[in-house]
Amino acid sequence: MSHLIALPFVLPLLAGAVLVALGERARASRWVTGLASILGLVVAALLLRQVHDSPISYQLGSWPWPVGIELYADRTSAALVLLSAVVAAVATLPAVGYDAGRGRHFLALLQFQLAGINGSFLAGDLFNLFVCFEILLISSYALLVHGHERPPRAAIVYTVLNLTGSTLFLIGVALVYGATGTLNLADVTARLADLPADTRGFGLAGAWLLALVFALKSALLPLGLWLPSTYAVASPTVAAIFMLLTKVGVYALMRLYGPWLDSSAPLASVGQALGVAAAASALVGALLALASRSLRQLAGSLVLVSVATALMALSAGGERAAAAALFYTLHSTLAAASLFLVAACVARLRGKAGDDLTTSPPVTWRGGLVLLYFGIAVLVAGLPPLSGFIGKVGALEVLARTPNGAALVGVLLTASLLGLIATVRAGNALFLRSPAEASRAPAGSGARTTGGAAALMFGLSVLLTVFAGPIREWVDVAGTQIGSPRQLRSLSQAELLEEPRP
Amino acid sequence: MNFTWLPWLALFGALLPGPLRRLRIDPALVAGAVATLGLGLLIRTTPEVVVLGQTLKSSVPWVPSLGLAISLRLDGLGFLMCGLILGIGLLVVLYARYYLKPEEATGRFYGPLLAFMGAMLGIALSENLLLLVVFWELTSISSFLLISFWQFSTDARRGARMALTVTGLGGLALLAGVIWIGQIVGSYELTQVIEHADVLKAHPHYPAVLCLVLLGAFTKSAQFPFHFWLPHAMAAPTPVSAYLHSATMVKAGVFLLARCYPFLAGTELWFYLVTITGMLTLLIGSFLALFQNDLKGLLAYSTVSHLGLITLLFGLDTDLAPKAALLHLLNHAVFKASLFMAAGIIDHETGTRDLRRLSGLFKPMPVTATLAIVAAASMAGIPLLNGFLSKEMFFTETLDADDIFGRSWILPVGATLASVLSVAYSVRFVRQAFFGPPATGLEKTPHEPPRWLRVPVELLVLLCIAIGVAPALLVGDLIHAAASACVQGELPPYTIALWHGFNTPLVMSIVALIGGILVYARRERLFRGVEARLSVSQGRRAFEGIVAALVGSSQRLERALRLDQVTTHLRGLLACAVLVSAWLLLPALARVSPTNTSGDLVLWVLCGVALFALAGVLLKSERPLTAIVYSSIVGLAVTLTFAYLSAPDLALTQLLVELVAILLLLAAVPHFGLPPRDKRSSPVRALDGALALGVGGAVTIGCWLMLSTDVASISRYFLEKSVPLGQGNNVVNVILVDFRGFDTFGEVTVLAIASLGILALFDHLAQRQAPSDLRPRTPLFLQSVTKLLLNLALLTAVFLFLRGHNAPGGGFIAGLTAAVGLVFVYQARNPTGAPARRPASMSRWLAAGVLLAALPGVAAMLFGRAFLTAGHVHLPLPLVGEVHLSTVLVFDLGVFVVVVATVLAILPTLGRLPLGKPTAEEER
Repeated sequence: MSHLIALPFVLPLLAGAVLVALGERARASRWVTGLASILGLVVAALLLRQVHDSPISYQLGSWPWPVGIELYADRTSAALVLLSAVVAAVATLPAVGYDAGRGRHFLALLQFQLAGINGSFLAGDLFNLFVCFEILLISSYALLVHGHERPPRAAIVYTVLNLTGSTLFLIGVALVYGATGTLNLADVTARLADLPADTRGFGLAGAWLLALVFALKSALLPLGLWLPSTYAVASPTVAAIFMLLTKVGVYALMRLYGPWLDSSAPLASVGQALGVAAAASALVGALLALASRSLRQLAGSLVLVSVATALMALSAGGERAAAAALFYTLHSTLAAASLFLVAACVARLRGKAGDDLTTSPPVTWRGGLVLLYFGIAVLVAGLPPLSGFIGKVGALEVLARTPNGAALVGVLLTASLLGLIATVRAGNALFLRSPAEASRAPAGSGARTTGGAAALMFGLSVLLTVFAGPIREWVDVAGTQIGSPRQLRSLSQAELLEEPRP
Repeated sequence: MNFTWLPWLALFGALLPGPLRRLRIDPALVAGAVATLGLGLLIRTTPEVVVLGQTLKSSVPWVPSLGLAISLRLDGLGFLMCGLILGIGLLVVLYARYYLKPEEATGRFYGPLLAFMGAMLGIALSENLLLLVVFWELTSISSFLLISFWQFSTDARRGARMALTVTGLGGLALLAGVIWIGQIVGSYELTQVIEHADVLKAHPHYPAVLCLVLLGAFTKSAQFPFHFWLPHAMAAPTPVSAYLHSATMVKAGVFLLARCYPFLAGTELWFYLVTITGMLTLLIGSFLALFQNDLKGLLAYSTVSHLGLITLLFGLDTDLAPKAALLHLLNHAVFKASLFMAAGIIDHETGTRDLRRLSGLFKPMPVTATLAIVAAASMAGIPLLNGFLSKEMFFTETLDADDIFGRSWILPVGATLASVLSVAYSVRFVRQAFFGPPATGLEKTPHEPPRWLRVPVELLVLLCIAIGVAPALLVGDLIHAAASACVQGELPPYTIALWHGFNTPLVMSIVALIGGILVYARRERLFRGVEARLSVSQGRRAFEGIVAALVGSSQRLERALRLDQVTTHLRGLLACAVLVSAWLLLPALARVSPTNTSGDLVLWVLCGVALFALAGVLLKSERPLTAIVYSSIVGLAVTLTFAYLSAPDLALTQLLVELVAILLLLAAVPHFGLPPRDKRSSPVRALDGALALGVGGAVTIGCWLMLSTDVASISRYFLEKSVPLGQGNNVVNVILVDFRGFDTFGEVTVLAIASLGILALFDHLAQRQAPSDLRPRTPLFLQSVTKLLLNLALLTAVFLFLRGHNAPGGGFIAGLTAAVGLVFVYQARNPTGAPARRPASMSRWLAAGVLLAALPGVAAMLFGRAFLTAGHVHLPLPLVGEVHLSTVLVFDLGVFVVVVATVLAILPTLGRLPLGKPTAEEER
């Protein structure tokens, strides 16, 4: 039996516990973090290879399906696990030396959060998904206030809002369980599509509540406006890892509703709402980007746009749409994470002024950083030739086929244009307008590592661009898995009781 | 190496100048080498492409799934463009080498320049339309970098942003258009698209596609009303202006018209849109050029007008119009590049480009002046120069074209008028710069430039004359091949020649020449007052107005949303939840018949108590202590309900959770400040109230509906298999530690993380203020009682823990029990809040608990079973009898440790916190 699928959850969790036990021993903590990153990458890569041919399912505690908790990995989950391993590994590079020294248990919390993220991508069980959400959320509350003397206002907003979201999640799970009698995600999804009349009302209400919660996590309008200001107070390295949190919401939406979006099942209406909400999100996000006062806020606003782009594509329905959404998700995570890391680099170079979009004090150590910023701006704005463009073409292509294609394409391109204006304005303020004499000062504390991490993340996007062909083909298969219902055995109660333990 | 290398040569070459500078290799050398090599490659294809009119193709897949391939084609049209890009590129590199200061001529200049060259070559060679968009946007980006080269100048930055925004807009429109073409045709490959031209033109989306593509072309080629960015792009160094903003990049737009000609042109819509836009641009550009005082500004508006002319030609429906357009595309590039370079030389040697300050330059710099005069004459359309040829053809085509708006005179008259203006500004350029009295007050004394700065101009002017004299010999084949590729069909026989006899176009030329000179001579009287009004570019003002309005309204939007308020977000979330529930639950409610609602008196009473206490919590929310007491009543009622409904485990858990929660809350109360005053207006309060009722109602209805339907669920499995497979009689506990042990494992981790978070957060807060000594001491009596209580609690905990698998109890409950005892002791002994242990050591216990809980799970994996699979051992022990040992016991022990450690970690931390006031500020 291969335990590979459990490791992306178990390993970071154990690493987190070990890091807690290590306490203040910085050197040892670095080693453990590094080891965890490397192991995480290896495990994720192996998992990716393992799901290449067919999805894998793993029954925790050796209880038969659908009673026990299932871990399930298809291409989408595996891709996202690899993505989170990569983002976490790169983003912790600068965090190890810098953030870890500014408060306790930082590295441990990062590992715990990673466990929650990976768990969410692999959860084959609705309640377990809730648990994994809790793990990543509770870590995120703690990470958000890390380095702050007292919790900033946005952190309080974030915490209260998400606690409420968790409550709704729980209510949603209860309603769905009440209607379907099962908690297995695939089982639930299949049953929700075909509910008998007497349970349909509250079952669907539960499903919709879950959709709301996922929309909240993925920062979709009208529930997503917390994101820019929240990420603007997070340490930028933390914000880079937080990029994965929105993707958990996107993934959950894909997993639960993806198979039905182009069908006549009652859940298809979620897709229509999703399309409208995402379109609004894209526009408002782009406008907020124009209004942003710091680089992190800009990046956060653009996250709204990128998530909305992926979800607009998803809402078009069907396998190709799911593939487009997944590819865009991969791209946008790397892109936004690199933008946050650049913000971190700028903040560390400028000291007190941080990453505020002001001309002075000028950003020292220019040259490479300026080039990197504009490269990332191109990436984030979806300009050719980088992966943003390829992702956008994929999204546009599926949107153009929908009945409201013209409007959706128009929204997406308008948002792109506004995003471009915003990133260029920001670069103008930070880099171009500052006086010339500030050219070659030594890098500030940790700025070099942070810049390096940003460059690395950017480099990964370039790889995503160069190998877009094979990656997109791989993702196309992932799209067929997520865009159509999973084949399930349906068991009667009596048969279930006779099921042997695996 | 074949033609497919052309774009990559330049694009990868763009990466070289930076690194090579370290080796002290002149970046200009790299750029020059790339351009030369490229020209060589191109010329090698002349026999096939130009002479035989073949189309060379090659394709490498990139993203096949999206239909995006690196497909390149070299036909006559592409050859013409590539020739311009490489030829003029080479001259510009040479020019820039002597124009820029040595410290400026770095990779920062040549890098983007080469990138631009590569992107432009890519546009010219793209067979795949998506690939064309890729290169298209790349030219915008590299153009941005080049315009903002002198980044410390406001004009440069502004011009760069404006150019990027406007062409970016066009690029996005083009992308949309191309995507739709792909959807209609099923391929982005040019060959396929051309094949399906009829389908495309007949498609209902054709007008939209056409508009989008034209938007792309018009913004790039600075057509009215998007022309305004081009003059502002002149803030770029002059080599850039000469290269990008006159000879090549702006030609990308008209090149696109040529590329799309076979599959988009030929309709009424195309004719009107393109012709009218071209005509307007032609007139407006040449009119505005007349009033520019900046040499480069004049040339920029002149470029705008010439681009309009080419666009106009592509709009016409005559057979030869594309040929005329392409000839003019070539001619304009040649004479305008030389004029820009000449303007750069003047700037370089006099320190100004202001026509009002320049005068009489012929004497100090006769060679440059002669060159510029010849080029300007070509621009004005004087015979024997290349500009004359294409202008003649232009006149011919306007005469042959269809009537526009039913009037046959509009096109020829407009064309003549534009030519009049064009002659007038050419004359002005020459007259004011080179003749008249010697200029005074210049920064530098004018003199001839260094030899090599002039060579590119000399070559270009030579070309002007050569083409003008022997057009058919020099460019006849090339233009024919290009035009054939453009229309994708046979062209009527036509020879480009200097002399076509005395005909109407010649008359028009003569009229233009004489009229132009007259207009220049009488300009002051003709346009009195106009100049002042044209001083500020309307386009720029509009553009900046729009951007400022956008930014302003975004900021207002951000403020209006009140994103820093918790209530904003909560209201949104809850309102959505209520709406969704109302939409789905209310219809369902109508369908359910109220059968099972009688209930039990005890439950009704408990329910009533809970509701009453809840009201107390809400009403007394300003007095935390009272509210806590009320909330404990709610908890108690819930506990009793569980007990009454025969759920001892739940009741026990609820009771203990209540206890611990209240103890912790009480410890926290002293740190609360005053609750914030309610500042909501009454309508808002009413709305909030309605929202609260809505949420409560939705949950109630949901529960009720759920409870009044019976659904077969997995729970039966748990009940039946608990004993045989789970080895435990307490189903709840078996679910917690075995069936769904993974969830418990996760939740235990959540608990541990929460305490770690609290420890980390309060670390900061606690450090700021030492604990106060003012709190009362606990009586001795309490201290001794608590000791007893602790022992009792610990004993109970052990008992509850051990029996957990078969009877109410388990790790969680036992942990809470022990914690309650410990909390009492702690409160009794440490009224001052001094920590008994350092919280750091508690975090070790938390870690230990999590690891302990994971231990049996990991062990199972080592034994080849799934994570968290339970293992059971039955040990027959002497005296004791058979003892059932299970790995879930270890798991449960982990849970126990985490729970105890959590409580013990939080409590001392609370004690170390500063009192009251700062938190009150936070609340506000």
